[in-house]
Amino acid sequence: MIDVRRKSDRFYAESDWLQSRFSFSFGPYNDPNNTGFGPMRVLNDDSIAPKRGFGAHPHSDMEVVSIVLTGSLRHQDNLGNVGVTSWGQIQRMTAGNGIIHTEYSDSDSETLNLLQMWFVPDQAGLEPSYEISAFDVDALGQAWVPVVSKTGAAGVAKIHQDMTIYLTELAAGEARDYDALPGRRTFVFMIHGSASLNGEIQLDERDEARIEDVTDLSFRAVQPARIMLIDLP
Amino acid sequence: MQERLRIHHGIGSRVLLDSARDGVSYEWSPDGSGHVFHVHIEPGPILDEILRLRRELNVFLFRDDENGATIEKQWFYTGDREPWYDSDTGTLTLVSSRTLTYHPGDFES
Repeated sequence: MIDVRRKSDRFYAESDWLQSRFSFSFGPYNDPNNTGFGPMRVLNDDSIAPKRGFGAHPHSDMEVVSIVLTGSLRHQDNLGNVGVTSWGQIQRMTAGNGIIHTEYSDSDSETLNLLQMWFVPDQAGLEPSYEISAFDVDALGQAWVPVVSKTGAAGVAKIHQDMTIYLTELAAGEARDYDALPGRRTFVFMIHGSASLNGEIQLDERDEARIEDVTDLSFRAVQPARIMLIDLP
Repeated sequence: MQERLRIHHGIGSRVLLDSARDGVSYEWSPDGSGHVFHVHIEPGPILDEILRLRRELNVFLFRDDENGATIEKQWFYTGDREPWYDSDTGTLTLVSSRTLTYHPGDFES
């Protein structure tokens, strides 16, 4: 089954400094029929005004992954971590048994656009931790590049869940296949551009697809495309 | 300084209970290396939602100054043991194994 959710289908929230689209129930958006996809619990597409952001707040028992698309994200927490993340980097925070942090746009002029995702960890009560990893942006045009995985590696952030986040980029007309393992879920998010999926579905910018029981996936770019694909239990 | 108990949904911080707003009484005390809360609440939609989301709660004590501004927040981790409700006594019990205290403006240097 391929469940396509268009950008316009997602819940939209805005304030004077924040514009956000929620893929799953979050805050004021409370749909008991849309609370997650496997261990994936949150995907917020946030645009944050320069120097604005989220003041001190707690998290627990959640793996929080942030991918910055434009601008830069400044993080500080009660563990003493301070980090600034931009495109080409991944921020991973293990909330575990409790962490307090802030998240702000670090730019004086540029809007911060980030994808923030929360995943239920495979174990509760973990020791809180924080990591910034850097992936090879130039490699995105060649393959599905893992940027987050359970095992971690050089350039791959380590997450406490049996899952992998991949990024790739396609030139117009270029194709790339992905073979999912049987029994796994696949979540696809069209970050930029557009592409056809298995020749039958077109995913445009910020559309998503939640895929189960389909293992052979073939993408062909209609326009230059940047795609995030997540392999999930 | 006024103290109130707040229970938020951990996914997006929706306020499920505010003891001052909702007229709910509570006590809290040390319990081993953690703390225990007894919240006196009648059955109803507030309780239903807390119990439905019992694995995803953020439990706080907010401390406010005389003007109502929150000057300190104490957060309690409840992930080790799910909250439960005793309908005979009308008491919701929450057990916390860890707490963190912070203030507006922390971690913003």
